[in-house]
Amino acid sequence: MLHLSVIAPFLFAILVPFLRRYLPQTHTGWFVLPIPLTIAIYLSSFLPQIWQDEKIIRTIEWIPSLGINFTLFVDGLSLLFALLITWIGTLVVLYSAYYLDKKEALGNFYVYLLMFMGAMLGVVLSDNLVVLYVFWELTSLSSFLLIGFWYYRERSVYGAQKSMLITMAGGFAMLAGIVLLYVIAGTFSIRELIEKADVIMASELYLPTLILILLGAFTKSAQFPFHVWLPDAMEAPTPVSAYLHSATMVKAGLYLVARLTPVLAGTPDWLIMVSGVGIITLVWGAFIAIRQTDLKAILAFSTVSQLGLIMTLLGIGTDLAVTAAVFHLFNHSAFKGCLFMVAGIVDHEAGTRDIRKLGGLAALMPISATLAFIGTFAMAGIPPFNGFLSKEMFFDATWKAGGLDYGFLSWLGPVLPALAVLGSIFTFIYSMMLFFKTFKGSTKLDQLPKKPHEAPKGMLISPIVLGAIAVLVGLFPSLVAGTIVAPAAEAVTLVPQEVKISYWHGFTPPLLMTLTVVGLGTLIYWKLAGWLKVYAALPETLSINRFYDGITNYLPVASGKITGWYMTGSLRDYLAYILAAMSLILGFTLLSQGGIAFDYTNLAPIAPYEYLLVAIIVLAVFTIFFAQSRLVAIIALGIVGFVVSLLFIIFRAPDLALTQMIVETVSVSLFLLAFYHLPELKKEEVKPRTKFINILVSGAIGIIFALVAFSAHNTKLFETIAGYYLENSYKLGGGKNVVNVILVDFRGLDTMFEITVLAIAALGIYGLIKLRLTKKGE
Amino acid sequence: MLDFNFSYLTIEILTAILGIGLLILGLLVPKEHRKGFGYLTSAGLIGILVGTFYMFGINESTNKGMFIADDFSVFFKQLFLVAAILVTLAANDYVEKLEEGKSEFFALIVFATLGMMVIASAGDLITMFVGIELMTISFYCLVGLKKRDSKVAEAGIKYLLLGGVSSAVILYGLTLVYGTTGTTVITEIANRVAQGSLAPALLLGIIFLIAGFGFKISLVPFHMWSPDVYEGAPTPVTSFLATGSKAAAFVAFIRIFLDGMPSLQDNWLALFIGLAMLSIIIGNLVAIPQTNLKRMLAFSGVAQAGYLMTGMVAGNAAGVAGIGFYLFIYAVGTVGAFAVATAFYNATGTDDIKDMSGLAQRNPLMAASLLVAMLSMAGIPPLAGFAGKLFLFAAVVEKGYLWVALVGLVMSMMSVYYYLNVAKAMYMNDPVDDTPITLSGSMKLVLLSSVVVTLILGVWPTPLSDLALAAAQVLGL
Repeated sequence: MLHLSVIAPFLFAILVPFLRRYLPQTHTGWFVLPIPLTIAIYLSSFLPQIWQDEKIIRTIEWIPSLGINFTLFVDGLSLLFALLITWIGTLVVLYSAYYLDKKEALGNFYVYLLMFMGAMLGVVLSDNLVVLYVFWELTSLSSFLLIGFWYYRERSVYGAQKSMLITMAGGFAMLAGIVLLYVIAGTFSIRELIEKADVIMASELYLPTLILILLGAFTKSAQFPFHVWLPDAMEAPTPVSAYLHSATMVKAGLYLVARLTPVLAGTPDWLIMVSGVGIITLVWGAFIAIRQTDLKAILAFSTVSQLGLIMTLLGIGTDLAVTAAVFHLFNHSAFKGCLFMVAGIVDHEAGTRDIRKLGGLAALMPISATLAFIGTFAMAGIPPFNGFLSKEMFFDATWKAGGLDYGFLSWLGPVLPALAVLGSIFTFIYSMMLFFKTFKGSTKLDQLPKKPHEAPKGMLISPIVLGAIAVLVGLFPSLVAGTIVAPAAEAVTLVPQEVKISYWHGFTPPLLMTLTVVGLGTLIYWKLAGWLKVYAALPETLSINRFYDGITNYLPVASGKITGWYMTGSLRDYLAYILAAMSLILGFTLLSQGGIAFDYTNLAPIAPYEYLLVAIIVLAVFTIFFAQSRLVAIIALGIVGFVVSLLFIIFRAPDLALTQMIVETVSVSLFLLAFYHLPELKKEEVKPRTKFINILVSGAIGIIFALVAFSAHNTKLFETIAGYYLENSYKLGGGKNVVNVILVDFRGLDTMFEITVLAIAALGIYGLIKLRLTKKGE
Repeated sequence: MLDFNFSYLTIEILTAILGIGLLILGLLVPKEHRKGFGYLTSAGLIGILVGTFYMFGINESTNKGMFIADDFSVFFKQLFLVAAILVTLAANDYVEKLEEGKSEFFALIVFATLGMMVIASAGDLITMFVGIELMTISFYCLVGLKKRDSKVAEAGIKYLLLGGVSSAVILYGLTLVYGTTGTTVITEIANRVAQGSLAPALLLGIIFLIAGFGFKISLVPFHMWSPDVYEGAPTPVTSFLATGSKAAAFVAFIRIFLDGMPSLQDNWLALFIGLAMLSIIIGNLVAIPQTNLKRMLAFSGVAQAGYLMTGMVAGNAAGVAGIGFYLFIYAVGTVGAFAVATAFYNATGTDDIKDMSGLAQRNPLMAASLLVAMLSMAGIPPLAGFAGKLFLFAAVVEKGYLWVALVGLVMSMMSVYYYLNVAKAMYMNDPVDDTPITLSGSMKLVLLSSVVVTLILGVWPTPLSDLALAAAQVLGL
């Protein structure tokens, strides 16, 4: 059953195109809606078991030979994510049924969305890291397809490609990390890895493993400096942004970090990397968000920054921090989902998301304005909303993290709370911007493409639900503290958690931090115009987007250059490369294996005319090198061959000599014939450099082959067969010419078949010529 | 006296009969009625494929070890046959348009398949060389089949010349191996090599063999021919060249090196690793700027050859099984991709990626099958290519060469880029010309089966991987 809840979205996705085709009158969203709802209800039924501290494990064999099984595992953490995925999924599908017009390519949209839902459930429920990776990449793929949903917009395509490239690159890094984990611990199962945590920590591969796994998590969760894809991903339809790019997919990286906390956490490396990157992301994302003018862009950077906040907490990893992380993750899904949907409504009703054009919408869209108020104030961390509580816990956790072991970055401990406050000030500012610039102030109706009015009721249901959660959890945190937060935190820390969340702790550092945030935030917001000048001072060239664009633009150019450099299309170049490579490898082997050896013993004396013949060969070879015309070169080549056959005669091998002569004659005349028939070749000068390389390569290959021949000659591991023939050709074959006896007697059958083959070939050639002649005669 | 069990050659004999029969039939049937040879060939090959299942479990050799009928060879014969069947099915439309050589085309495909089968079953270097030449010469003819087209002629000449060089190099290598071990039977070579001292000449022979087969596999730096030839050759031929020929050369590699010279591993391993790394890196890098689909697939094929070589580096049963599995899915995917190229060329007369803009609107099946094939080659789960890479990399990691697998992973990441560019063109750009492309029934069958097999083996790889492992274990590695 559990497996079915992961597979069901995929199965239903197959049906969607048919529903779309045969029932076009009904919005496809209505058919899809029951799927996430059913799964959500089914998964919720696991809650009592989780409260009893039970764990649910179901296994199906997948690739047993590699120890990779499709094992699903439900504990507090995975259930929290699974519930977020399915319940928010339900709300998003409901919202999309109003948001997307029936004329859009709804079939594609819901296929991709269901695919994503199934994949995401797979990520959070898998026990096996390889299976997790499989689903991980599927979420990237479906995100790619959803961002590119409006493929006719250039920005969409750019955003889709960017997100795909960055997250897939991270995914491969993560896979490499998974492989390393396997190398260390010999298993892909997360449960078994947790048992072997001490082995992994002690391994010398620990650091590379950690870095690779974190690369996967950071790219997916849009952590600095990989966050650049998320703002561009906002080209997706708003329901997608609300679902994938704020509530679920971008939290997959957080899930991975939380899931592997028992395996990898607890070292200074972990603390520095996870918290360091997290806190930078928090500050940077919030800082940049203030500059944005597009509602969704603000929300995107805000998501980046909030993810950084949770990442920081996971890095700190104390019981308090983990609880805060889980709690804030839950809260963020509620208020950010709500805000995205409201942004979608504003876009839908007013026709723009530009805050410079918007303003005073509260009067026209009171319900949306209320929702936005709840969302933004929760995000800013103002009571009585849920964001206040978790942000308070965040401050507390950073404050108490000072005593942890930061390795060589010991100054990070005290700085952490300061950075947390700084990031939160920025968060406060953009939250205020988001609400006041959109819904308060003067209306500029003349600048809006549409006349705004309140959204249809159906469209409001989902944000209302999310907004209500933000308020309810804010007022009664115990609703979720023991039921959802504590089990999830226990799954990370592996010790029982007693979670008590309350408003008033007395005058503690966290409260002072909150007061600082609100005070300074209000001050800067009041003087916002002045603050915005800060951004003008930032150097543009250092932007990470430029870096990404630079790589993606430079890569094709650079590899184009490599291609142009060696894929010339010229046969001569190819041969030169291949032969050069061969002579290098052969030469290296000969040298390293001591293969260069000359055996001067047992050699015949060299007669003076033999020197002469060799001199002629050498001369002919040099003629080939420097010949101006091809004809001369061919004739010189022929001379080499003929002189070699003369050498054969001197060594009393007339049959060999004869063969060699015939071959030489035929090849030279064929060459000449071919050149006679070919059109006159261009008489362009061969460049000296080309010529030099020609000589070098051919010289090298010639020398190497000579050395190979010597080496082969020196190797006499056993008696040659020649002795047998010499001894027996007269005794058994009755002939004195050994070669003849071999041909007609010892290997008589071979000779016969050879002749047969030759005869058949001759007949074939005769037939071809004859055919050709009759054709011409016709 | 003649120790020769002809029943072991049943499959080869049947294939030879099919090939010769096609040739004779081509002469008997008047020119204007020469249609349906493709279907006949496919039907014949399917029959032979069914027959191969009866060859499992023999595991014997005949004629003093010259010919081996083991499960390993049967597995690869089935691979060749599947590739040949898909190629012949996809080639029908193309061949119909040919002016001459309609029946010869299919006969040559069958002969090339026969050559590959002989390589798979060769227990002797000479038998193997005969197989190689039968395959290669058939390909020379196939590549240059449309000889009046200047691009084809150029490809044909290049393939002939460079192929001739590589055959010569292989032969030289075989000679040196024979000269230093005194035998051509592979099992005997293994014995001699294991006992005897190591002659430098034997090492040189090994290098010649690696270079020669490296050419057939198109490993860097012996790969230069492949983009030019892949681009110029008739696309169905290209697809067979890219799959069958490569697979056959790998079989030869496995037989000669893993079966014949396991004790010399220290000597050839470094070279294998070097060539694998070079191929993976250069193949993927250079595929990026390609604007022609067939050239891009050629370079990606170079990279794929590099991935396959990691299985050779592993050198154990798991590695060989990985090679078998990967070659199978690579064959299915590549034939699918080239089938799309064939159909696209038939409809539009171009192979350029920019002309494929908006293909998803013109023919969704073509776009989908090319996308699936490419994502599988990039190793994106849950497609079969991912499972294949998993097997290969797991084997090589097991062997202790972690970094080889890591380089493979990094470059797989890079390959997503150029595959994605094609996907982007097909799915997100506006078509230059939005007339729908229609496909023939057999072409649809090829595309569908390529997609379905790639998907199913990705989600459920165990049946094929078990088969591949069983085949690999026969070698006793």
